[in-house]
Amino acid sequence: MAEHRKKEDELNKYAKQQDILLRVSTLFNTIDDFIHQLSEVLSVVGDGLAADRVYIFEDSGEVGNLVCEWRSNQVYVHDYFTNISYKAIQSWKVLLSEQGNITAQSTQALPEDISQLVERQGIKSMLILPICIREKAIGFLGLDNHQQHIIWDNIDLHFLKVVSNLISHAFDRHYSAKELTLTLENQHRINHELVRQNNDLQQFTYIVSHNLRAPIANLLGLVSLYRPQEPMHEVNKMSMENIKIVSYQLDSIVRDLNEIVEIKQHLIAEIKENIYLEEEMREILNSLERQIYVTQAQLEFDFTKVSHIFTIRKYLNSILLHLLSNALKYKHPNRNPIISLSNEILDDFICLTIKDNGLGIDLQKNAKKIFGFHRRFHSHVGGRGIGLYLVKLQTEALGGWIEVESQPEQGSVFKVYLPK
Amino acid sequence: MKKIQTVLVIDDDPINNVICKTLIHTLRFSEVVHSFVRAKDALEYLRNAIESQPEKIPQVLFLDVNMPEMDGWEFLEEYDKLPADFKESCHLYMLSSSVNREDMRKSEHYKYIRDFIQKPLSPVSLEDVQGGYV
Repeated sequence: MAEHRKKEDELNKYAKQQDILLRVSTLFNTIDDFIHQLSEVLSVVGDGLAADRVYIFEDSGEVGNLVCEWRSNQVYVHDYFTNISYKAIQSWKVLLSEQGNITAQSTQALPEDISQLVERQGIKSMLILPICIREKAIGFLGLDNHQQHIIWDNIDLHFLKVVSNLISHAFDRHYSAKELTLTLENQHRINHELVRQNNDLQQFTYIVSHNLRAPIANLLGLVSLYRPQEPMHEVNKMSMENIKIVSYQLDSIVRDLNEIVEIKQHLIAEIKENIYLEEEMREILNSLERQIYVTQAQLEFDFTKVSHIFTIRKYLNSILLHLLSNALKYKHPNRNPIISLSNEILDDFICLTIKDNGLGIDLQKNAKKIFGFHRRFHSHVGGRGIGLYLVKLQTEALGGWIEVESQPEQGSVFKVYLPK
Repeated sequence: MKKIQTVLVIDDDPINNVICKTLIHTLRFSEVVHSFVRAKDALEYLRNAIESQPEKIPQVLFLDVNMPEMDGWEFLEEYDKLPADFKESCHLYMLSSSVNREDMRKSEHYKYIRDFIQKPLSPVSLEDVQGGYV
């Protein structure tokens, strides 16, 4: 009869273990919300084995940190360690790797450093199993009992080994998935960067085919017109004069290109500084003195709302200079230019507004071209059409952007947004 | 033999126009060369000539691609609206500094473009134009 009873108990225990294993496996079917799934698993294991506390620690160097835990209703206030230092308990790792587990039906059987740790937490019985990824221990699974001394037999140990293997496997999958996501993100970033660089290169080819080629064709044409046999021929004079003009054009195009490349590659590790706007404006107006005098322009600026801006002086100067000289260059033929500058704070940005009463731009037709390469909008004035493209690049390099509103015959308003 | 009397050069780059004029005069390609830095003005000239001054109608026209305000392609849209007999008689060439295949390919879609000439205009290309006209 006793024999019969024993067999029945064993069978019951076995059935219970199978049930736990089935539920744990089901929980780890997918790894979506890993920590939540781990907690569920711990509660299944703890409940099923009548433990008081089940927990998982993960190693980080010389320290093990609590990842998640489950506590039975019986356990009250206990100041459990949420991290343990392996330096303080040298025998922990030694036992885990030599025995494959740490068991103590009675804590006295443990090495002193561990038994001290265990007793301090009021633990009567404890079982620790390593969690490994590809045979390397990355932490441990633990079961504590506070009420009674549990006797773990080989079947129990074997069963818990299977559970810890399932958890190990879940950790492995979790980290692989994480790594995969990271790799994918990285790939995506690289892809993005490649597309951007490719676009830059295409634009560069575009400039070469459209903008550098034009003055070169002119040079070829002018040189072929030259008549070496008739030095005094008037064609020679014309040819030489124009060769000079084209050479200067070529030079400035190459300079512009160089500037573009420098900004694009962020070669200029310029330092940001606090710039007093009014002072900076006076300096820019000085360099435009002649154009202002010739056009009889009226300029007004109001920087009372924001007097200083923390940014790269070189870029800010170039942005303002380009926009102001454009406003003077594209003045309306029937009136003197009136140009006003003001600024304000909008969220995290300082908005600089430059308003003129000049020719204006037909944005319906040119919206896409305006900040592009070498596009000129007016025939009567010279211009390499690169200024606004540079302005756009520079505002972007400063972490901002530029907008334009314009009506033909009315004037234009440029808004430069720079970070505060 | 048909003689080329008048040539129109439409290009916003004045230096190119000087080169074209000088070369055409030197080679006695035609008697008159008119150049326009704005495509719109050239269109106005053509409309006016077709309407009331047939002696001013050009036999050859060189058109640039990239120009501000009205570019070469936009000019062609308007050009298409001109009388058919004029378009049959006038030989239109694209004259561009572009070495971009895309531009050259695009010009193939236009019925009235005879050819795509790469700048600078040269005696060889003028000879071809002359050959095509006779």
